[in-house]
Amino acid sequence: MIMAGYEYRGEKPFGNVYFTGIVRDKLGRKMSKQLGNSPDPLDLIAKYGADGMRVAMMLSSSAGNDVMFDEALCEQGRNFGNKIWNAYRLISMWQVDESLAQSENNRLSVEWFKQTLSKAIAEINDLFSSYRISEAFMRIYKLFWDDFSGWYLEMVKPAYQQPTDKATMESTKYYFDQLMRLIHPFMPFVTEEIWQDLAPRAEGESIMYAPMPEAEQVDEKLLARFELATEVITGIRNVRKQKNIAQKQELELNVIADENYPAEYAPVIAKMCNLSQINLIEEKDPTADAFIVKTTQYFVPMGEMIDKDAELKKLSDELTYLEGFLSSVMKKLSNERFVNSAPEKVVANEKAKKADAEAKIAAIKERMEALK
Amino acid sequence: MVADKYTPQEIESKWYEYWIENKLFHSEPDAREPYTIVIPPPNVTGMLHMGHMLNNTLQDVLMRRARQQGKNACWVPGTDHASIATEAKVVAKLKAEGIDKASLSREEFLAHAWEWKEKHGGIILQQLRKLGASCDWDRTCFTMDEPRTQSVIKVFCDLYEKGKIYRGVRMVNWDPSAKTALSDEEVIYKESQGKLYYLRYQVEGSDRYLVVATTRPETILGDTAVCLNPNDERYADIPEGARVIVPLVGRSVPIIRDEYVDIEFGTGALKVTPAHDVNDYMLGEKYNLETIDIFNDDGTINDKVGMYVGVDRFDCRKQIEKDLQEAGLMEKVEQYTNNVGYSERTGVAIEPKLSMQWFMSMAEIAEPATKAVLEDAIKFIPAKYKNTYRHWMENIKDWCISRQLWWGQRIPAYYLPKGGYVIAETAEQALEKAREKAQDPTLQLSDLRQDEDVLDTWFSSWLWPISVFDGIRNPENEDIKYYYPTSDLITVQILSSSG
Repeated sequence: MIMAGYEYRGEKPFGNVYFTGIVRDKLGRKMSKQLGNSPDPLDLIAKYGADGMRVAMMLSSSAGNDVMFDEALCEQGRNFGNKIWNAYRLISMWQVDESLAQSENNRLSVEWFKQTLSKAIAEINDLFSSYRISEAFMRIYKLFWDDFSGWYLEMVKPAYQQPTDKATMESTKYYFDQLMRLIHPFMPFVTEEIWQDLAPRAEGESIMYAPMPEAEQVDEKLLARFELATEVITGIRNVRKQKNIAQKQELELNVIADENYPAEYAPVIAKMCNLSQINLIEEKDPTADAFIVKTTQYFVPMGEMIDKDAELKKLSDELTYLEGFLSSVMKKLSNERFVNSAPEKVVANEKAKKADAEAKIAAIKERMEALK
Repeated sequence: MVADKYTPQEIESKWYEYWIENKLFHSEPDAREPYTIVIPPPNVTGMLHMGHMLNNTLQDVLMRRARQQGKNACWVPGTDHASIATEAKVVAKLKAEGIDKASLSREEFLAHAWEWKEKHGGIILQQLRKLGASCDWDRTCFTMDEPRTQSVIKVFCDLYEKGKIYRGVRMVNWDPSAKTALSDEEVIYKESQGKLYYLRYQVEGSDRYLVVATTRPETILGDTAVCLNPNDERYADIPEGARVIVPLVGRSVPIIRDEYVDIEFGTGALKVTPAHDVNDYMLGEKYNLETIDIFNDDGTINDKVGMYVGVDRFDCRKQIEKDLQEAGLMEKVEQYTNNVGYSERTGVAIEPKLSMQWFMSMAEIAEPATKAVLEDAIKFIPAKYKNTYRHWMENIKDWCISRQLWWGQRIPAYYLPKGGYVIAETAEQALEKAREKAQDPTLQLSDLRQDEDVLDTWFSSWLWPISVFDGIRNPENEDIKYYYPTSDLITVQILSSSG
């Protein structure tokens, strides 16, 4: 083709040649009729849908290298379709109260997702421009599954049988529209079905011609602040999990605020964690469950919610472990040969471990004292 | 409101129909920037496999994204006629119905083949719709449809005029099962367990014997010389101009001396069979030796020598071994491993065979194509395949483009009754040229005989990105000017012969 191009047009026949790998089975064997490891693609499409099949190809492929195919990937593809479908059903059922003003929580959430979307689009464009098509899909998959479904929808979801405000509903639908456009090249069918339902469309109109969303200037600072908030939320969720406290039960959060406390996201943290209030405190609260995000200390008062004896036992076990750990670090640091000959970074790392263990031990002791 | 449950089967056929009905995949040149992909044409009689799924999913992702980026996206679908594979399938189908290909005329056979193509061909394109492929189906091409066939013929004539296509007797890879020549790319070499036979050739007029080692004793029927290395002192006593007697056959052949012979291999004496070995053929050319082709097209022994007539080449080998033993002309037999070429399509051992074929000279035409990739005018992703490509292009040999088949474009060479031939795009033009060439205005079309062979499928597919836009027949048409060069080619990692 290249030879004919130059001979008959005096010009190349194509700008880029993308080499795909050879499709192998999950054990890395070449597919063949004899081995019976060569599935009929039409059967798979009948079972999982073409969208599911296409996702499976994206999940298993990378340019030029062999491709390991596993039918489970088709299932994963269909599950992604299902995830999109259910997310759309969820927002379709929200009621809108036009008189309702947008809450701060919703305003923050909408603003955050706008940034998140923009950042993802820039990354996806980048991946496409270097033909890393599978990776581009993985980025979109994460954007929908984690960022949109896992975070955004949870953040703006109205309380049971409560309406949402008009602005939030519109933004959410707008984001859904944008996400469908991004996913469309990979999953043309499910995205068309939903896009057609998102707004009235003229006959012949199709998502196929809906312009691809473009990246805008990303506010990295905002995203970094939100990242802190997600870590706080994760911290509180861990406390709930460890102490076996249901999401329904309200908690309080006490914070010794410093510059790394994302105060502006307090409404989001409160909503996501079902907090009755967030208090700014000056002093450590040794009776509470504590965790640290970056430099900020957070305390979740337990009050009557925990079994004192079990908690004491747990703390003392933890103390024993930490003391053992500390002594091993100390041993290393008291070894002059190690301190003098190991790279500076390694020594600094050991010293940080020591400080960290000492701080934790002090906190546990304090906590145990308070419980007694 | 969408349905309660996600049921892909329900929505997928509905939207595909909607896209087709509204002609949303169709593209015409306009003011927008074009984004073009031509499908690497799959075999018309093929079925979709997982490799196609991957390949076409990627193509569709790029197409749909381009469309959403406001480009005028055009994805041209099509199939290739896969000359040897399709003909083999049709022959097998006819055989099952009790019809022997040999009993049919060319026209009758082609009628069967077209019928078969209409019935089974293009299933693969129907299957692609199930995947959601947004091809411009209005532009579907087939490498043997009329515009593509005319393009192929036009290019053949053009390259012939430019001196880049020639006809000649050359050693080719002969497939005795499909009864056609194959290109080097269609031959797979495998290590095979065989024997090395040591044969005695009596020096004429003496009782001295030369012992010659060969893996193929049956080819002694075609021996026309024995070759020694002039520096081989073991044979210094053999006088200039001496001849030897080919064992069993009794033919007297010359002894030639050439440094080509490896003193270390076997006995240092080589039998020369110009008709059935590539290297022997070159020796034959050099020393003007007679070539005796001993095989029929199906690999049985022909009647040229009058021995073992009609015996299959492998049976003949066994028989000759026995006969040589009995005649006391076999010194010894050793186990031996060597590389044997097999036909990619039929799996039988390739027979190097001299035959009259059409060739395309590649060196000159390959040059800009090699440069384009090495200098990144055409980008390879991943870039590591540049090396494979360079290696392939730098070692490219003249391409045997004729195939002894019927399913394909028939070579537009017309033979004159009194010798010679003319090349022309149509029979009418051929007649005109023939009358001129023969200086005989009374010549009729019925006096001309068109070449029986067809062109290798590669000769169609290498033109694909141009021919799908009719850029060979009409180089200035709007489509080719707008869509060419195309944007991306998505292909499997092994560089195929359509490079």
